[in-house]
Amino acid sequence: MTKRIFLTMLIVILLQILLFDHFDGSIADLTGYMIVSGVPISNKFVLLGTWYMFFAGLSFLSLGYMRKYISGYGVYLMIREKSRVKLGFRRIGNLLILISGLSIIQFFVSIIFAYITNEDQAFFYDDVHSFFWIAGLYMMSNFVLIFIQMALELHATEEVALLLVNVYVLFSVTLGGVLLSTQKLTWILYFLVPNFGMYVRSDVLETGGISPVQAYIVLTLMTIILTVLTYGRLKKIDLI
Amino acid sequence: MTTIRISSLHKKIRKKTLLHDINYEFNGGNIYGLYGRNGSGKTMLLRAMAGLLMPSSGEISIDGKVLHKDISFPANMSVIIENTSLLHQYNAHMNLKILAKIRNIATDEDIKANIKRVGLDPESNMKVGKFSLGMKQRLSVAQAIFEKPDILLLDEPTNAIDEEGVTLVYQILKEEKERGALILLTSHHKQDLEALADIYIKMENGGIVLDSK
Repeated sequence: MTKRIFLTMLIVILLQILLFDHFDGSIADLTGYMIVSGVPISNKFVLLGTWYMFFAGLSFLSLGYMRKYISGYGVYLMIREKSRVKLGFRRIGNLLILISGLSIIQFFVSIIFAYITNEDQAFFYDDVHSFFWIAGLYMMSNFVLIFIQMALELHATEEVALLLVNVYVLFSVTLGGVLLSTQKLTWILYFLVPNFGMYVRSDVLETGGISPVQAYIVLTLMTIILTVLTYGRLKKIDLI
Repeated sequence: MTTIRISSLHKKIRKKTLLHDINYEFNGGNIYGLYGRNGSGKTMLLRAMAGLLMPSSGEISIDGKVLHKDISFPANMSVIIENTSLLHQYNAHMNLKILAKIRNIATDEDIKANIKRVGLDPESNMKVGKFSLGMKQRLSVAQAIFEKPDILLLDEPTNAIDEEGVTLVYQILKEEKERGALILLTSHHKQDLEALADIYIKMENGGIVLDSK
């Protein structure tokens, strides 16, 4: 990642926390779970937009990360490695590290912000156990979504992959809000990955509808399926 | 010396035949010049030989090892493929250094010597993104030769290079041939290959229609 992209992501993180604070104090006063609180069930679209900023950043910075590997400079690397899959998975691994790193920066920035603005209030670390549950889900669901985008890049152009993943994210969050508010067909939530990383939509503290344990199982299964599919595709894809 | 044997090679993508019943044997120490019109299958054949394209049927073997069965890519091969660029954010030296780390057979001196060999300055800090097309192509040639490969598959290696540079590239390829490398290069016109190739191969509609010395 270039310095310019990293700085842009930092600006996105700062802007996001300020906008959360401006639009919804109940989330951004950060006595709860900060950024990982996600979008309220009542579908406040202004908060959906604010929450979406970080994922959009991740998605755009990953644009072409796999496609360029199979059709550009990666060809030079691949023929030297003598493997079609090794470097592909190394790239996915690099993305995992990048997503984790940026998410940790995001948590860190929001903790500092919370500390400055809410000195006298109870803080998230009153329940560290729950925090780790939801923060882990947040990072893992972001990773699975970017992994889907990378897997799609092996079948379509990077622009199509980006579009499909982002439409899925926005559709999932919107539909998730509807399902939770009506409390009908909530099992569909398990197909709507972006909701997994949102504290207000999970039952970490029995507030939402997604069981964190089951969410972890779904995300692990999806990671395994994506790994197998990506391996098969990299083995057979025409590098044109 | 390296031998590449192609047997009954066919390649179809979305019902379109790109390569049709190709049978040929390429031997090291020779320069093969592949020519033909746009869409005749030159680049596709090169990509198939490089292991980048999966054959629909038939097989390609390199020194007896079958591509995609015994090996994923030919051992000690280098390529110049259309639309394959180097890293724009780094200078020429850093680009080759990154590649050199994988095989670990080329020294820093090899890198510098080969950048110089193609007429570029190995000490320059200019980023590849600022290079002219011709300079980028020269660096691609350096990328292809700096590890002394046994097989060189070059898709129009003199594209965008000026006259002086073309002479330089031809000289380099002759030297690589003397070293024993198997070189295959493509061009739209036979005349472009006359100064260099030992064997000419004409392609038409995805098949080899003529070969001559």
